[in-house]
Amino acid sequence: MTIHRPPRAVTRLPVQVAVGRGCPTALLAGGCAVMAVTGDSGRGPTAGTPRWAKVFWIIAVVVVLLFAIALLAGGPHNPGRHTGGGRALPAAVHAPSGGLGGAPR
Amino acid sequence: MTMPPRLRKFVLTAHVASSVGWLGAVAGFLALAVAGLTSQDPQTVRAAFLAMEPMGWFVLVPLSLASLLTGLVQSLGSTWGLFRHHWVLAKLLINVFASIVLLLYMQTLDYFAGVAADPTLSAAELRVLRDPSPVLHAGLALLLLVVATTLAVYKPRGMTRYGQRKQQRALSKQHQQRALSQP
Repeated sequence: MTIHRPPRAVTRLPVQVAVGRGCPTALLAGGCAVMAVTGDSGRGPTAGTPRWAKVFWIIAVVVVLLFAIALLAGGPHNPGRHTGGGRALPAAVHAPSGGLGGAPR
Repeated sequence: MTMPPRLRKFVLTAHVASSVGWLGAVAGFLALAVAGLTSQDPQTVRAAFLAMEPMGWFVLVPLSLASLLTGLVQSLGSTWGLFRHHWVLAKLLINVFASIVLLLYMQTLDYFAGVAADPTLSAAELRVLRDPSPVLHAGLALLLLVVATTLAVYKPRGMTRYGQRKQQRALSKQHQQRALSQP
């Protein structure tokens, strides 16, 4: 469990926003209502991308790229994709199944 | 465009119900997948795979699409926006990714259900069902959905550049209006 550090830099916004006291402006009142409904503490914006977001987006890009490569290289998402696919399959594989989507491609 | 409070609460309720429902359904699916993988009884293995297919089509897929749709409406209909906060964008990516993988994986589940439903197959031929992929997919889906739920509850700070620009613009506009209204 990581503990959030306070932001290093704060954007040039009115003090109320910079200290993150919820919804200081009338324009953001709608957001305040949402925060109240969803239990948000109403944190203000900070400059730059927070560390958790950097880590998340790096992992996300890697996972999506791997998924795209696997999809392009290996064709559709067939049985055996995750187990090597070298096993002999029963005849039911080639016949239309009783399922909703029929036999796999 | 922000929704009126009543509508917003309704959409939020629908979003929470569908998202948490999806998480619970995946947990149930994982239990069936583990039973299908580990059971020594061929009838139990058949039953697990026969149950997984309709569960996928009639529970997982509708809940995933409902979660995505209500999430889009909720974010676009409130000042949170869809692209303003990292946590909202992260949840969107998780939801879209998990839904795509689920829809692709339904082909595999259809195949497994077809094998399980074939009464002519021997116990040896049923070994094709000893596949870890349902457990793998359900486990990873559970992990992703727990991350999404955590993001939704904690709402970690951090606005995207687009969100910061939008807020700066709104604030400067408000300051201008305030300056004009003062005598």
